[in-house]
Amino acid sequence: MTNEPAIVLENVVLDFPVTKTGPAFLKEVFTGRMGKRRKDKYYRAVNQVNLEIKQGEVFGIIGPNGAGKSTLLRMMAGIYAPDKGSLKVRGRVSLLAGLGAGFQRNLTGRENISLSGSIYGISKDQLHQLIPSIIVFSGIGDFIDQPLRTYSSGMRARLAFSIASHLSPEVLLIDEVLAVGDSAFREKSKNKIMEMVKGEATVVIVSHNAAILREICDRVVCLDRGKISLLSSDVNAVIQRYRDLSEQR
Amino acid sequence: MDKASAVMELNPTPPFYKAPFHMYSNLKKNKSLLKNLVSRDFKVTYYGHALGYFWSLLEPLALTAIFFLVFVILRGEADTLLPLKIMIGILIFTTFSKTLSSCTSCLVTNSSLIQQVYFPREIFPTAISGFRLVNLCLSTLIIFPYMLYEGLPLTKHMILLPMSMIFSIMMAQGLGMMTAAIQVRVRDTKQVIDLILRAAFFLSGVFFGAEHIPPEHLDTFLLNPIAVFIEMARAAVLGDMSLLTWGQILRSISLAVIAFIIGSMIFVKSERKAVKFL
Repeated sequence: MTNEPAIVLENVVLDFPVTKTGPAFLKEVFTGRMGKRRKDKYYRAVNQVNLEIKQGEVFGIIGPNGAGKSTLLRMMAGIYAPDKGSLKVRGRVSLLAGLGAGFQRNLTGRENISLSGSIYGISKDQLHQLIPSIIVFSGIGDFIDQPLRTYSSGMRARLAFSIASHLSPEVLLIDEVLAVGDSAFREKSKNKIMEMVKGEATVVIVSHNAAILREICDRVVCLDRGKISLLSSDVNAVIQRYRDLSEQR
Repeated sequence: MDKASAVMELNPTPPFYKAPFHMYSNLKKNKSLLKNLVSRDFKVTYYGHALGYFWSLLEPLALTAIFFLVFVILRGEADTLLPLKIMIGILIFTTFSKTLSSCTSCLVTNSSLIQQVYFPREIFPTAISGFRLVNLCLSTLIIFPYMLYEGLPLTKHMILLPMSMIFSIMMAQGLGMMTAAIQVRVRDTKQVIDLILRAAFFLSGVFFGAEHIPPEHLDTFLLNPIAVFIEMARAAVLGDMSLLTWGQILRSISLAVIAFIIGSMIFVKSERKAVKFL
């Protein structure tokens, strides 16, 4: 870990629209209530968050449901742009959330590797080199040239995880994907994640699993209703705060 | 390392006037993804088809055969080129309408992908156009044997065919990029667009051509850029552009380019807000 920042958030705010559809939406249009109070039309998912995550740091995010953990992670990945404040990141970012982006059930495993890999931003040449290793790691064997719909859900998850584990980003964002496949593969994938976590990359991980956070994180933040409730390198204190908050609900 | 060693603003919003250049550089950076998405569309569309990509060719061929049967054989139409003219009209128009229609819904249909991974969203409408362009190229291949059969020579006017194909798709993508963000908020948009396209089908001279329009109304008819694109393709194949002027062609091309530029500005700006409604 160095002292150089990898992710810097300054007063980041994200508002989600409260969507009205059908008659309610029409009513809003025709009664001219569109431009009324901002508070009624949006809820604040991320509220004035300031964070500085250092290069090589393993940073945990915990919090009750609806605290804005996943939203914050998606903002770091660039999926949502902040409404206010600034968000700066160094280097390439990969988000591991809901694996298997872009999978097509009628394409073969091999075709899906190319497609999904390029969606995750792996270049063509790199992908060409990585494909054998992705196939070996997934343990799918001869099925790789069969269409994805013939796979069991476990095989699909293994293929997806195998692709994700071959990304080599500078910043890795993980949203609770530590358990896929059968027990042997789960062990293998956990080791692989640990390998990635302990490597050069900066890691931000969202999890409810206290044991994992205790084991790998340098610092943990507890979010509550979009705000930072507690940020500390004392992981146990943060986890205690999370438990207190959950019980209050 | 120099460039990567600074913390940088994540996907900054470009100023309005820079949006088209921003879009161009994003597409260039993601060329292989774009290619993969186009080939995915092909594989998925023709998956499980015994004849596969051949359908891009067979479909217009079969259509022409039907028109030949109906117009030339059953109705005794003297103009044996009519099926060819209609087929060209259908190819250009359906490509236009399918591109516009799928660009309008591109953010909605890809919503799960958008929420999982970030990459420049301009790629979605562009991949649609790419797929449509390749498909159209395959379909137009059947024009050549027909030309040979009818003894039509290849002339310098042939250059109008690729121009018509490219600019009609460009216009469709431009318009589609304007409506894509609205479709996210108000899902009725696509229905409205599809109805407008249905009406445009009859205004663009698909089943008739400039030759059937009374001369005093021809200028008005050719104000419609899609009608001009269809006439351009017909002129290319027939080797005769007596019904078109270069002024009309230039005007339609300019409209397509302007639609594309404005579309890219609107898309780049509105896409960031729109994804929150998905």
